[in-house]
Amino acid sequence: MTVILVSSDNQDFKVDKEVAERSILIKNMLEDVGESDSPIPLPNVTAAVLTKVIEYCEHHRNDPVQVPEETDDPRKRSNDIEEWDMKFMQVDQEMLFEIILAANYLDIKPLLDVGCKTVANIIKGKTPEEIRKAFNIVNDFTPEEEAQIKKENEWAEDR
Amino acid sequence: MAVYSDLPLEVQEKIQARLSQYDLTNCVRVSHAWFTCFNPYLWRSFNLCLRPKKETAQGAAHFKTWIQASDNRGQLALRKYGHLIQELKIRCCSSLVLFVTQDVDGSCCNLRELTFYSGEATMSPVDSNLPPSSAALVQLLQQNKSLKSLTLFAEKGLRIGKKDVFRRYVHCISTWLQWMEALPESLETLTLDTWWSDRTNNFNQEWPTSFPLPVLSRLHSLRFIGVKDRRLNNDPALGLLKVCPNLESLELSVGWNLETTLDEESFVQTLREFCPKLTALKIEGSSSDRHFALLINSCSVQGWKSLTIGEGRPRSWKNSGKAGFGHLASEALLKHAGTLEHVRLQSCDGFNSAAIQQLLCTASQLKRFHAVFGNGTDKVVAPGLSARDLVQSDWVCTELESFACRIYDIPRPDNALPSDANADPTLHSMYESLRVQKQIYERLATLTKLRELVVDLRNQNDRQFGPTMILQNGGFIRDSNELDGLSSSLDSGLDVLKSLAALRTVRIGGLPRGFWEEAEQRWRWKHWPLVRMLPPAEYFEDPVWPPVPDLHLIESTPAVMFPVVYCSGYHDYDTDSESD
Repeated sequence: MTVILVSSDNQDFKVDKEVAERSILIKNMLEDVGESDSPIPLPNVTAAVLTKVIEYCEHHRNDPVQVPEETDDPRKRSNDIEEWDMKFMQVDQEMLFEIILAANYLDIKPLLDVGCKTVANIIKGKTPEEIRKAFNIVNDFTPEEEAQIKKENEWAEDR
Repeated sequence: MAVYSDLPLEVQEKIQARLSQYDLTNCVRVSHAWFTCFNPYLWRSFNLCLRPKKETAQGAAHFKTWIQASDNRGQLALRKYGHLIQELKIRCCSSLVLFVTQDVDGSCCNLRELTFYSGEATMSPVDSNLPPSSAALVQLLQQNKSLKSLTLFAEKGLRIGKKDVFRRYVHCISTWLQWMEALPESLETLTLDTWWSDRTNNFNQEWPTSFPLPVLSRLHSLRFIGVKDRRLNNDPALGLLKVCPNLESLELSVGWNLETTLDEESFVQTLREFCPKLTALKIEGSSSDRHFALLINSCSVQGWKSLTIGEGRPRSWKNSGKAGFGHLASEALLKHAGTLEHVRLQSCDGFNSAAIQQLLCTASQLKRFHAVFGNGTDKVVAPGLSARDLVQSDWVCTELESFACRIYDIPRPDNALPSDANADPTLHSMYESLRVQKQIYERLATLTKLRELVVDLRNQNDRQFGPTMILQNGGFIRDSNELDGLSSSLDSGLDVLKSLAALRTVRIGGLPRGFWEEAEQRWRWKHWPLVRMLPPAEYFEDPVWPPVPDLHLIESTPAVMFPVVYCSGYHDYDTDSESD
């Protein structure tokens, strides 16, 4: 059985129901709507992002559904990301945040986790300037402001 | 064009939680937008626990230079961002003062969690005024009206003469009362180290029989770690119990002396009268059978839902006739079988196999049963269930989700041993072994809600209770004492466990025939794709009583130890570091 998902820019995407239901939001919508064939509008997700999300769900369609763990401590989880997922996440940083937003909206927890891990891995170990380069951020601090913040947070610099 | 600050806060937290504090200090300097996102998270948790002799310092060295800098950068920052701090862990007294400011703006007033370990008391005699550290603690408690969790610990005390002890103790009472009065009514959990020595007989000071305390109506969890129970009926423990009407969980640390000094009636009476909602009890320590029974019987009318008994019998008592948890205590526990949902026994081998079987046959609400080793190297015993008892009768605990218990006395299949002319003829045949193992598996399969199954409870270094290890090359390492041998193999009846759909964590151990074999491996991936095999070294923690964080920072020496408020201006940093 297939469903039709409609992106915010009005593009239709035909996907298998099983794939679409990796998104808990869509799964719940389908349950509510029942047997109807009407397309599902996703006003928060553009076509470009939806393409990527569907690609992820297709690849992971056979993964066991994650049961929410009792201890959801991210620090305890290992930091290794699957190779396919790593390649999948090699996008520019705008798309990266868009994917995370979409995964959050659509309630696809594994994709959200991978996205967050990826962002964290980009940030780790970088100086502020390196972080700016990685995320295309303009520095809007004066040198004095930046030095002041550094002074205020020196207590936390113990590695 | 999505940017970082577009992410919802809960998503930002997922990312931030994976970053080290050092990374966070870099993130706040990236841009104004990033500063707004990351600074509150950076300041949320302020952790200054350190042991000068150990490597567990976090922020200690940097904190020192920061707070002592001539431009007052540290204090200014604390004034500016103190309100962002929600978790505060502080080790030394002088530091605590820093978080108590006179200004309203920026003061540290939004704490949710406070963990305070006192430093070492100074050698100089204390004066009769309130020591500055206690004043700081009192003030901090008064200005944090949303405090949810408070942990107070005394570290290593001093070995000093009797006279000094007396004077400190006198001090203690008044300061105890001061900070107890300051406890905010928002408090939900309170963990206290109230260990003080009973070696000195010098003090005659009596605690007042009643003292005004705020009613802590939100307090649901009270943990006394290291309580030495002398005068338990008069001391702050009982005083506190009287003002927690909604208390649900209580942890007590007991010592052998309890029996001679406790006013038992009073203690039981207090619990029954003032804590009607008490349903979870943890007892840690060593005491007599009668005393364990008394404590278990002390519950209010509801009946215990959760019992954790951690018996710490020192090795020296093994031959001295002091029995510890035994028949009376077991009976007391079993009386609550109807209401019990969680039972955890650490090293209580006095709760014997028959008792375990009886529990499993009568506790219809039981969700968790753990019979494990205690912490520490003295604990070489663990309660366990013998195969003979297990197969006697049906279990009623069909709600069981977590089962961790040694199963022993399983006849050992002799086919695993190399042929040995001198083999003991009383060794059971393989047929018998497999028959018994199948029965055990069938019994385990009735636990349809099981999520965790651990029947191999060896310590990582201890093979005493493990099965005989048969090596691939035919050699073997024979265990000294036990006839364990629940094999994780299909021959033994493992297959019947494939119906346990909720199972996620397993340790069965057993003979190397089993999960090392191909057939079992295939079986495992087919029927148990979500099951994780617990490695031998991983210890099963108590989900009801999480370990007290950083307890390892406290030295548990037998030296005289004082409640936290004894310390009087200990300076963590040398010379003139006392900043105002």
